[in-house]
Amino acid sequence: MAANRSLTLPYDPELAVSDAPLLEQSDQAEVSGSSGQSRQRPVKVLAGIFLSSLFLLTLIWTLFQGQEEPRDQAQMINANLNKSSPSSSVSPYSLIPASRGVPQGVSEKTFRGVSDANDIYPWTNAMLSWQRTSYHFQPEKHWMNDPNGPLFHMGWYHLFYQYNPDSAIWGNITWGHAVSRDLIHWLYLPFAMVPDRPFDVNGVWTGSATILPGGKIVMLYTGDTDDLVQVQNLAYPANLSDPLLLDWIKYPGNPVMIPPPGIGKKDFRDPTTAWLAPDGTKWLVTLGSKINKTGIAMVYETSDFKGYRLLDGVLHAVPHTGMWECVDFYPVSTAGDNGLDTSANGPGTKHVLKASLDDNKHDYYALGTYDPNNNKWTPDDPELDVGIGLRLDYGKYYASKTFYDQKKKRRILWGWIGETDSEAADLMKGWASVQTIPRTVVFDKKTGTNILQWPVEEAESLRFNATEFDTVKLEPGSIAPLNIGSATQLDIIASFEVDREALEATVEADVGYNCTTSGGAASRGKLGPFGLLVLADGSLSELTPVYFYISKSTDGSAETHFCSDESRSSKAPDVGKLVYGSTVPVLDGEKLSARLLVDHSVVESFAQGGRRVISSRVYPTKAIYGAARLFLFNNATGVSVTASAKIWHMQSADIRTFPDL
Amino acid sequence: MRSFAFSCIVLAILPSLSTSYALPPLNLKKSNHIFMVREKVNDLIENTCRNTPDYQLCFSTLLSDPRSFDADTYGLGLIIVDALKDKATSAVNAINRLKGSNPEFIRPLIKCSISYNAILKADIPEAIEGLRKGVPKFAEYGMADTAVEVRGCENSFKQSNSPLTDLNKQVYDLSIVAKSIIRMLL
Repeated sequence: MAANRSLTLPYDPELAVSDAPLLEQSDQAEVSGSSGQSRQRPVKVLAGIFLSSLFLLTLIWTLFQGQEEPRDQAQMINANLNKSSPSSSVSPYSLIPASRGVPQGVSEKTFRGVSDANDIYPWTNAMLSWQRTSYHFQPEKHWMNDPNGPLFHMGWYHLFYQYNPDSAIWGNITWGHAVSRDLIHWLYLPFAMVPDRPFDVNGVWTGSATILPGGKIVMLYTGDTDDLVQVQNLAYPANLSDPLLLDWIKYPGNPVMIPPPGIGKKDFRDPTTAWLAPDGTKWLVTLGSKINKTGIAMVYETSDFKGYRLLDGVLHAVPHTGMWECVDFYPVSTAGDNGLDTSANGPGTKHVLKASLDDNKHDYYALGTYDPNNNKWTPDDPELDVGIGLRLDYGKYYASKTFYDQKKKRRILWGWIGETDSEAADLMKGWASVQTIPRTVVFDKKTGTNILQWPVEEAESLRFNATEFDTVKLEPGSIAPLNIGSATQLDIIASFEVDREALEATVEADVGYNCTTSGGAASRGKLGPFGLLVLADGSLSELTPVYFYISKSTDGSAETHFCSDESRSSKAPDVGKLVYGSTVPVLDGEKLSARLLVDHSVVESFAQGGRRVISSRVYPTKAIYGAARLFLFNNATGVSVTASAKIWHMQSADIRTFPDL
Repeated sequence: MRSFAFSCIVLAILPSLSTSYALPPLNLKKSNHIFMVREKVNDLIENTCRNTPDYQLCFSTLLSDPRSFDADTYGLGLIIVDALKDKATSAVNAINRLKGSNPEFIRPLIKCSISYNAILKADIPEAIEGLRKGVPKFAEYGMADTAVEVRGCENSFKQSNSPLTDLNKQVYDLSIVAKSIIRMLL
């Protein structure tokens, strides 16, 4: 279905030049007009008029200097005609950076968080309705947060989720439910659980499923009781032979776990999938909490999922990390490529421990070794322990949870992407939040220090109309439009090669670079930034750069950063404008590669095969519908970059209610 | 001599005058407790307020609500949010009055209606839910957004001629205090 073709773009720089009016012509007309009229008048008046026109013109000239970009672009296009490579199918032209500062040292526009809103933007219905995604899971309306109890059963993938049926804000939480054959095309089902018991009347919160040998399903979830105490409850399908698992029964003996001594009544939530204990008959489950400001994961043992015994000590604890929400704990294979059942352990496995930190709203994980006999998990690298080391996703992302897909033997990761616009806008548009495209999780055998996340292969079924751009040479300070038509629903795979000689010749560059404090893609360095501009309008008044940036220290070692820059993503002041990102390991001989899933107001960006991932929310006002464009760019000062890209359009996933229920 | 005495009297009175202006405005609905002299203020109130950016506002707001004496940190946060709700309601009333009395401000007033609608319908309910149920991060979102909405309302009046500045500032200041108390719970 996907058609592969290389395009020779009909881009004609001459057209752009002639469109931009030249300032000089209008000036001359005005000057000659006024001097013509005054021929009969005394010299004094003539001089006066001439001088005042000159003054007026200077005023106009300085005003126009402030809006110089389109005009200078026209002039630079002229100058660069000679430089464009005749063999490439794309004609890059020079980009005037948004700031005229020198590469280092000048105060660039600092990124702004939402708290810097100047005014309330007059959002139109067109702008707001464009924001809805086309192939990411989201309910028809209202609020969603954590993904819950994901599982595969009788041919269907199930997703449950925290949902407010009444409003676009968090509250009145129920368990929404949807099913899919392929993790992409979802069908809404009725609620699985509502807050209707004393043990969950104040909230049916996050939980996880455990599939027992034989196929029996148990669900453990947090309930907020009528006394506002957080407890763990047991639920199970009313009818296990129902592939849709429509009805659920709450164990009448709930709660099955209550906050133990020393644990706060409001610090006890989000039980994980259970795994088999070493004796092969009992089950172990973990959930997070905190003791003062130390985040911890506690483990309970059970044989029937009704009675539980708290194990001594904690699975792990990290000081100063605060409350651990949505703990996740699972093995990954260090040798093979498959996912592992949650109960797997032994040689050839490592265990991932993950926590969502309440304190800073980020998901952290670490790789380590699990010793079930001592109820201890130890990180491979204590410097990169849970909560202080690697993040699953460097953008707007929280409450993630994995499950083992026994059909395709994969470990699949779900994550909640919230909104970064104002609540007023959420109320206006009537909904808030999306889920990521589900990602496979495997151990990165090449680096040994991280996991790899990648959109499930079923996402590729949405691809159509492929366009390839090969070896586009991007000189320093240039951008290349990629004319692919509509640019709001895309799957992009791009790779970048930096000119070897220039890279080696550069002795030192931007040693202290950090995506979040960099000021984004407008900050030019010798060896970066370069990458893609997504959701950009033709005049680049709005743009979202996703880019690489190489910094180099004097000892010759280079560090590659991968960033997603929202600082100029929208003219609206009341939306998030952060620059997200981190360093990404790049091994010898590897090109820099990125995959981007663009879906209206969500962009998921994957670097180096999924070593680092960034989820962004963007809310453009102009770069929407047919006005959205895609560009390659190189804003470095000292190095040229050769880019290749393959771009597919993405169909809608047609997420709707399950028919005929 | 007389002028000297007069100056002394004035100088003696002045400090007490300035002090009285620094006293928090009396909340008449809950005024009785203010007149009871408490020898030892609740340690939690003291420590909590010391860790907020506006000790005076935190302290006076909490002290004027009798529920504060037995409250835990969650409860103290709820009291601040309650006070914020009162102020936001006053702001909405003021906006509605101004729409009639000052039609020249209709455009910014409409924007402010949108902002305060978000504060009253979304931010405050979310903060109350989050604090009551012990999921403080949602309360933090609500208070952070309140600051955004209030600033948006205030800035929609150009040339700094906003008739809502006092109320906006009071709501803003309370949201900052609330947010800092909520952060203590994370």
